[in-house]
Amino acid sequence: MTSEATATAHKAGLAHHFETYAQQKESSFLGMWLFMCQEVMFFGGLFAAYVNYRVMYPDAFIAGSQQLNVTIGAANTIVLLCSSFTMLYAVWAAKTGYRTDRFHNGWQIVFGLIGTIFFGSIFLIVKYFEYGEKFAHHLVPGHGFIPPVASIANPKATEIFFSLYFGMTGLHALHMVVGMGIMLFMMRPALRGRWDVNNHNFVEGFGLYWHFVDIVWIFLFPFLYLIGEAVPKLH
Amino acid sequence: MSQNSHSHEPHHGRAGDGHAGHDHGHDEHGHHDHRLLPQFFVLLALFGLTVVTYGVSLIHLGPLADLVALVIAVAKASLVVLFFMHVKESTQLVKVIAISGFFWILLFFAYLVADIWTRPGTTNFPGW
Repeated sequence: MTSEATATAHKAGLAHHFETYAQQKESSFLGMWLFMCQEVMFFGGLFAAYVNYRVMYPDAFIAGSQQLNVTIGAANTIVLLCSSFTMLYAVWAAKTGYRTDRFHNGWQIVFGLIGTIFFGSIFLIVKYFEYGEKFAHHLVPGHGFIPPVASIANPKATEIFFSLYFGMTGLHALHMVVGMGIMLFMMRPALRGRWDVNNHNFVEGFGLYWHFVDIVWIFLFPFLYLIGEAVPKLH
Repeated sequence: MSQNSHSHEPHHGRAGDGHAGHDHGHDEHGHHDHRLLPQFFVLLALFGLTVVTYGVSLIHLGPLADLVALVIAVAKASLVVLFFMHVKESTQLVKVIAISGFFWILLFFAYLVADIWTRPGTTNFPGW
């Protein structure tokens, strides 16, 4: 919060090194999109590894994918989409809200953030049980790994599929955990009226990050869960 | 000011506090669509596409299944980028940066796929 002395010299919510809110907003979003370009390349490397090995060992990838539960994957996709919408609500509240002594949009922002954390938690809890099942079935890469299907050309290559499965979903889940941590730290400034119609750049920028994480899952779901459904279950 | 005059805007019930007259008026970068309802319909469309891609997976399409799933995933990602991430409302500079990220990944995969799909002996799709 700016003090009253500062507020008279500068507009509320406008950092002193910016001329206008529009300039401040563009600066904020330019940085956020550059960060997300970096994220695209970050996940892109893993997707490239996936495509490479998928073409080299198509049967092993199908056998690996068939060990995953498509229904749980689809349900988790819905859950994550819901979390994106509660995030939209928080951004909408930050954008349309206004600041007075008696009322501000902070509670609405917090409501949106809590909803996002709620759906995000459901997603991660489901993922926890999915991981547990893979441990129980000896599908975790390493010494204990047992190829689930022996009749294919490269049974051991299924281990590569599960390496990518744990690597990609693990990195995705890590992004969600980081995001949920940031949301916890957003609640106090939200309630103190930090974000209003002129400056809601942090909330909207964070929303971009959360939607990006959603997009990553939108691609992980078919790449990991759906490819196995191309053919009847291998044994 | 008029941007915020939608019926589901909860602040209007507070107009009696005497602040409503000037508190909305500072949006220098206005002209945004502040309604949440269109994005709710996009959410329903995303639900629908998720159900479709799940339904398609129940019939075993063979190699075609990958293509169908990928097309639906690209459609879903496009909906999120266009309607949730507000690229349309961004400035030209931000648009260029945003598009370049996705352009880079397309270029990356174009050359990767052109290489590995043309190597001999890598098309033993099970059951085909």
